[in-house]
Amino acid sequence: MLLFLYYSMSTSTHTSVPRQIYPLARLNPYQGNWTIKVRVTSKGHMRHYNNTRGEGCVFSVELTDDDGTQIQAIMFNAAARKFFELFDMGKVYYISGGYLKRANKQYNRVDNDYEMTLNENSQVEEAVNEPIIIPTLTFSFVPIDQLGPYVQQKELIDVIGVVQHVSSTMSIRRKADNESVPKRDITIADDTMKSMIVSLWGPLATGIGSKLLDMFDASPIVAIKSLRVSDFGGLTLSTITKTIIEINPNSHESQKLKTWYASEGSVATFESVGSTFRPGHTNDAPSMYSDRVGLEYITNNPSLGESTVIASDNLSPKVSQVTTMSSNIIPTLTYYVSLTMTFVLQPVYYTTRACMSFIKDDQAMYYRTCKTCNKKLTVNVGSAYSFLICRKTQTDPNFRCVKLRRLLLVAMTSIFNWFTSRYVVSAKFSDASGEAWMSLFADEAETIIGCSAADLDIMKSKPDGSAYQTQLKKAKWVPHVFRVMVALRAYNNDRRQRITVKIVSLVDYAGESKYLLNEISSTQS
Amino acid sequence: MDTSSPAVLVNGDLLRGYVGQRVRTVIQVVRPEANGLTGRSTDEKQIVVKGQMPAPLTTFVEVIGVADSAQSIHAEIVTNFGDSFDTSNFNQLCQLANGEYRHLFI
Repeated sequence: MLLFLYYSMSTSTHTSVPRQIYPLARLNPYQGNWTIKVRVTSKGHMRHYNNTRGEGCVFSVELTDDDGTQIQAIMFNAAARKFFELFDMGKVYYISGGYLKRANKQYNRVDNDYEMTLNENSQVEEAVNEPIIIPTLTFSFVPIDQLGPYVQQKELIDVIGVVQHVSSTMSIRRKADNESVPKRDITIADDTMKSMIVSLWGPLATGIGSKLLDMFDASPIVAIKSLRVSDFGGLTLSTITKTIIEINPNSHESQKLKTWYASEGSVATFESVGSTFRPGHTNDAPSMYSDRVGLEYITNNPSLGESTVIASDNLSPKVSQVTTMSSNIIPTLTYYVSLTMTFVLQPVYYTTRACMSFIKDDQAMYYRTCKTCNKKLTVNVGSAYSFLICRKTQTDPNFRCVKLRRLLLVAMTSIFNWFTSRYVVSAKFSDASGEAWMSLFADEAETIIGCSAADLDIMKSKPDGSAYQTQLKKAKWVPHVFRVMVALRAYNNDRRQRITVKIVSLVDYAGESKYLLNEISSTQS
Repeated sequence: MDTSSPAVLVNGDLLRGYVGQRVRTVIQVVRPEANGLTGRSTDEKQIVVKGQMPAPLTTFVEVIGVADSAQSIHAEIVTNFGDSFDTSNFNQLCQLANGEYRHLFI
């Protein structure tokens, strides 16, 4: 009897039996039977994707309950289609039948250890007696000249500015799943005399983006909430699914900007923050002759990858900002009250032609990764693979050597195809000017070494290591052209230069000769 | 390496300055002949080569030999240089090797 009652309670959708409402804070993956009463405080747009597992659609909502706890709920495919129209901003719903897992902090910025997934069998019912409260958007704007510290941080920021330029829609192919996504770049400027490019993705590019294009000569003010700050192209602001854009909002800041723009902003020239962070880098594919340097140039310059940003605080709006790549500071300060210096680490890119001259044969050249998602696998030989070793060998001390484990692992790689190996190599390179240690990963390492990580592993495990040594030897002294990234990494209290190879290409001798001839003639003139 | 009689890198124009001396150049084969070939230098001048040819012949060959006249070479060694070759690079090399930087070569 009790069982029947319980069953009907959890599946009926139009019952007036009071449900037991769980606070969001109490939800966890180990408890299945709950109902929550939540308001939708944010709704992302529907995103379509196409990956190895097929194509689909996904969207997510941010749910808040009475206590103020928030959680993200995500829906795929059939569930997404089912609930997309049902969920509306500001409305309250009873939800049950979702399942919880640890939040993926890369995609989920909501403050909760868990995230919820709703499937087709989940129940979502609108609470009709609840008032609809659309949360008023609260912004905390970051002035454009103070964006530096937010680069690559997880925190999402808000900006407000006057639209200076709106690009046409571009179609960008997402590397992850080969899907084409529309993108539009808008340039906004504010009263710090700086301008910034904001990339609008997906529906924001086509919807509000084209609206801005139509009205851009009226210099509209946009307030944008929840932007991601990345170091792509120096410094870029990008929208995410939950970004909200308001045009000409009725707020105090908007008014202030409007007045400033009318009086002096409209005739001012703005310094673009994005490009000064990395001069010499364009968003086009770099040619193998752009930013060409010798290895000595990189190693002799320990401050590469560090730029100094001098930002003014709000008490002195007349300060012109200064950014440079090296430690030379070009002053154009006119008047200031106080300065804050922010050190920003921005990697720099160069191309160089060099040969690998030395590679340690006893380094761990590769790590095991999952075949589908390429995440690093930690091999736990003791437990996971011991079942293949019989009881006798398990206890026989002679068989507990590393060599046997290695052989078994290699055998299992080929027999069971459980995982792949990915390169992580550190090697020394030389050119006419000098030499430098560089790191190589995955495809680049494979090009230099000449065989896949799996094959190298097999060679290395053979008792006669000559094939392994020969392979490494053959890889030396072959000239290649490299696109390298030079970055500074903090090691204890020290900052060390780290050079990573991003692209490898064979030397095109005709092209290389032309480049050299050009260099010769430019030194002559 | 035998450095007793070094060959000067030349193109069509520079050949006249080294008549009777050992030269080397890369030319494009225009017409193979009975005892040699007719070719075009990297600066579009006609050059006649006499001597033993490799068979089969590729589009570009390097000729090392003694210059007979301003337009012909008596070949000692002829090497196939393949079917693609950047002639402008080679031409500029000849000019540099005989001009400002000749002290680096002979």
